[in-house]
Amino acid sequence: MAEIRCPNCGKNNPDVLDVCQFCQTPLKPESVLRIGQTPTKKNTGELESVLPDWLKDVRQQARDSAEADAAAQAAAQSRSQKSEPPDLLAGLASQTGSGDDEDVPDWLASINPTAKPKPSTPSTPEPSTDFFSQFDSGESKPEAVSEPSQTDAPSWMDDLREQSPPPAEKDELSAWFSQASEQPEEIVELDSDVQQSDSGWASNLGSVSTSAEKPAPKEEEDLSWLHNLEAAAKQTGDLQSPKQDVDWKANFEMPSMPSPSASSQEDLSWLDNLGGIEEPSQPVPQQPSTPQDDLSWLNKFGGTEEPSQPSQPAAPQEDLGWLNNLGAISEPQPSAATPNQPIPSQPFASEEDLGWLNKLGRAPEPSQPSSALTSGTSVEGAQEKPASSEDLSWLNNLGGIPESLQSSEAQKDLSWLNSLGGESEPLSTPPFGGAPIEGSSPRQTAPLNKEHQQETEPDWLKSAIQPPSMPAPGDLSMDWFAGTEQVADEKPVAATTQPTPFETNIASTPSESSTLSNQDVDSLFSVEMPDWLSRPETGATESASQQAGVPPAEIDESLSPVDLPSWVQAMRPVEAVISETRSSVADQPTETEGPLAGLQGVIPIAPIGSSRRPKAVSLKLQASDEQQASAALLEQILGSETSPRALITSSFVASQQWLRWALAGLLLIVLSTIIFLRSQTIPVSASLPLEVGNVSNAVMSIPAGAKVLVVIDYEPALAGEMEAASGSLLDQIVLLSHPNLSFISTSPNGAALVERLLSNTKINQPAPDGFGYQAGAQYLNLGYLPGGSAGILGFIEVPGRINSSANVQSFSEYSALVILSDHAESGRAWVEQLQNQKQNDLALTNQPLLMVASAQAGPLLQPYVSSGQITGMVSGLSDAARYEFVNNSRPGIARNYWDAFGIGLIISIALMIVGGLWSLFTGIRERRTEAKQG
Amino acid sequence: MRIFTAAFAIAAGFIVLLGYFFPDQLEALRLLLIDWAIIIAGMAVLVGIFNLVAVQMEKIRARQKGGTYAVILILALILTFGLGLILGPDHPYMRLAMDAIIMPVEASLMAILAVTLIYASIRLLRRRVDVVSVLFLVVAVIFLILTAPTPFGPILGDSGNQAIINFLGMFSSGGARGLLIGIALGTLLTGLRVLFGIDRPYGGN
Repeated sequence: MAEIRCPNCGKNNPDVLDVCQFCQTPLKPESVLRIGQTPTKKNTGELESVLPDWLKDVRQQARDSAEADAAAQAAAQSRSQKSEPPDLLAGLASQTGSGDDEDVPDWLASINPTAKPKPSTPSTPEPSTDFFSQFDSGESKPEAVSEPSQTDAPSWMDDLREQSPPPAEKDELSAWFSQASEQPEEIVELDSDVQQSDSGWASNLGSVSTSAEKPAPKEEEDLSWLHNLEAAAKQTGDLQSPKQDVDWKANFEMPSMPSPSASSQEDLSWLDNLGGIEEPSQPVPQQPSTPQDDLSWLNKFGGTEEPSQPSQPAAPQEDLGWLNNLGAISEPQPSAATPNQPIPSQPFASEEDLGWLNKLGRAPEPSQPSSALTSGTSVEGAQEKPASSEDLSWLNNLGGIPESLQSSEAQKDLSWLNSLGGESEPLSTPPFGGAPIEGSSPRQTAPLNKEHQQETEPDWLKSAIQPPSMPAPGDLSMDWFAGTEQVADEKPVAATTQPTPFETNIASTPSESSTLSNQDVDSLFSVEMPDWLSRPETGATESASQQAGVPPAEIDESLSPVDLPSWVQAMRPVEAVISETRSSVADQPTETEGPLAGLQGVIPIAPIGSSRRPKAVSLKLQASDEQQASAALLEQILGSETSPRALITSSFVASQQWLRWALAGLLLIVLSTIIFLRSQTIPVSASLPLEVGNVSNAVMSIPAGAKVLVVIDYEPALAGEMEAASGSLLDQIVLLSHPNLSFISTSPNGAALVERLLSNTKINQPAPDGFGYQAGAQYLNLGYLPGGSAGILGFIEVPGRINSSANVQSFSEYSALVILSDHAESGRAWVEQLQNQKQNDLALTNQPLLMVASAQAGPLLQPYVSSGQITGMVSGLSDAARYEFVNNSRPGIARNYWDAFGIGLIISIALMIVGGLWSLFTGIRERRTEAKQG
Repeated sequence: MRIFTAAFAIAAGFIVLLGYFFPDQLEALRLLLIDWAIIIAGMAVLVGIFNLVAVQMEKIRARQKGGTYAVILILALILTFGLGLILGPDHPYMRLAMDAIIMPVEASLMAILAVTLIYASIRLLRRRVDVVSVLFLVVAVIFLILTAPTPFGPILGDSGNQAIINFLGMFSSGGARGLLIGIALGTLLTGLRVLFGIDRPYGGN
């Protein structure tokens, strides 16, 4: 191989490579695939040599495994192609495998001459090795060996083949075999386990040695030997009757005899012996070492002990009648069947008796006695046969066919096949009915209870014909609600009728029969049925009786009453409906054809357009008048929720506006006129209240030129009242004492009201109208005192510390304290803080505290006056006017307001009285109107 | 922080309270704390004014309803405050502002109150007619009649009027005393709660 040197690493690479195997560098310029280029296709097989060794090994292993898998798959495929019923002899084929060829007798191996091929030869498809495939007419059909042991065909088989006549003519046996071969071929495999277990008995055979056989002729075997056997049988006429007492064992020795015929011609005399037919004696190769009693044990299976027989010249007499006995009814065998006596062959050749085949596939008969459950019984039953008469009848029992039936139905009785098709036509005799069979019973799943013998239908079929518990959806009849009494009563009636598979029995069968049927079902399937399936329907009668008013079932039924669940009972219609819809089943005709043949009343007769038609139901909602009214009301309420509610308040708002305007105008006009006219018509009382007299007395005690503290704690809104009330007091104090006034306020606006007060009271007016007080000289405005109570406390304790403008060192230097307040809190705070300080400072004990309060604060400060904490108090305009009157009507502010004040009060009182009465009257009238409307 | 504030407040309260019982030892400290309270209260007025301005400014910025009045308010505030700082509170212009604006406005509001009370008394019986409303109205009318100056003088004479006033005053005085006692007790309880830290009006709860 040419090499290419890598341009990158410099190492040599095979020329078939495109890239360097060391550095993956492209070796060829053309190997580099560029964008847009199409890669060139190369044969990957050329690269086989450049593959690494490990990859080659893997590929080789894969090939080998693939081949092996293919061979196995082919063998399995051929095996799986057959879907016929399991080959009963399949287990025998596997026994010949596992390499222990010496233990497998030849005759056993010869049973499945077409054994499966070896795995080493996967190319060869594994031929069918079932029993039936042996009978295939294709002579050229290869026969594979299933087990290595089977490859060595027994010598006796070879002798048989040699001795067997050439299968030249196509006889009936061939035809029968061809028919049998139509069935799916099945490989008969001998289980290795069975092979091992049978090694013991196989050794007894002795004479059969398979090891000496050659596999080559085995593979070349075909069914020609069977044909030869058939021909030989015909010659001898042994096919007419089965041989009962045949030393078939001797026939097995016959293969030891050399057969002059060709190897392809097989001696099937052993097959005759299986069926009790003595094969025609043919020179068969005899095993030199074959013991004489090697196959006698097989007779024991059939309940006959046949002495070991040497090779018998009965080969010519061999026939295939035994084949009939395999599946056919066992014919009464002769009591004494001597060895070598040709077994009368059954008319197989002429009549193609394939009844035994029928028996093989026939279902177990329910009418069979109960002793047919186990296969052992069949064997035992076979043992009961007379030894001479039924040597191989056990083979017949393999098919589960009672002997009593074999005689009558041996003739092409394939009716069972018909029954499998489930024909509905009533049979003259049930498929599986009949007289109870006594005696030995083959393997069959017959019910244990013999009472079931009388029943005609099989159990497995009975479940199909058993009517459902619930009626059909279209069944309008309520008959199925009927009590079970009638159902049970009518059951015997139904039992006498023609049993049909589609008998619609609504009610269940009685418990007893149901138990039997369930047992049959159980025995049929040989499985443990669940309780719910096998439990008899108990209490069905009781539930039916509890259904009140349920009309009795009108149709015939044989089922036991059903215990209806509660929800089903709740769905029951009303009795009236039931009564209406109930139809007389007896009046209705009986069906004669179709699946409902024999039934009555399943589908009620409802003539077209008759009254039975269900009533038309109106789609409109049926609502009463009351319900409709309620619905309308609800709709109205819901509609009102979304609609806005109209507010009718215009009249109310207008009357309020005019009234207010009227009141305001009246008061304004009247009072303004009175003030403007300076009317003083309303007299002022000269008697002073007590607290007002105390004020006057306190003012009289203030020394001249003393310091008086005046606290202004009112708002500008009440300045008019306060100025009118305090004017006369301050005027008297100034007039009598000429004190130094100090004004302080605990509100921010108080400091601004000092000048207004002094101006209105004409204190700071120049003489002769006022007292000519000067700011800073005669009076001081200390301003605003913050902190509320804390500030008052601090000022009382140390006035100069809190307010540096104060010209006193202690609060006791003030001769009097005059508090002008329009709210009780301020006065209370001053009173409380001052009272506390008076306890500490005795000089404050005689300090008068004069209070000038508005009419609204006076009542709240009255307790302090009553307690003596306040020396005197002037409350409101009335006290001020009186005080001013006593003071020679100085300054006259209160007197000016007095008339207007009086008139205003009178008007207010009048309005309150008149208006109240009017409102009372109108209110009562409105409430009466609303009450009448409501 | 919360603990510090609470501790300081409680300590201050206890010092002021104990200062009354121990004047020689805690007099000066108590007076000092009171001075600080007065100063802080005075500054609180300015803080209130500043808060007022801030609220009105926010109203103006958000263009809420009444923003125009907020503008007038702020302008008036600035003008008055400025003139007061400059001219002094005793300046005639400042008096003019007080006499011409503040006083009439507040006085008018009080006059409207009188009309409103009369109107309410007139419609009282139309809204609700029960014993309490009738009794209230009757008592009010009687009191007004007794105290109202008439051209004819007191209706029942001076002595009669005085007797009736004293009789009615007896009830009012009793009610007033009850109110005052309740106020005093409430004030005492509030003080104790603050001293014990139960209530923390200064924040930090």
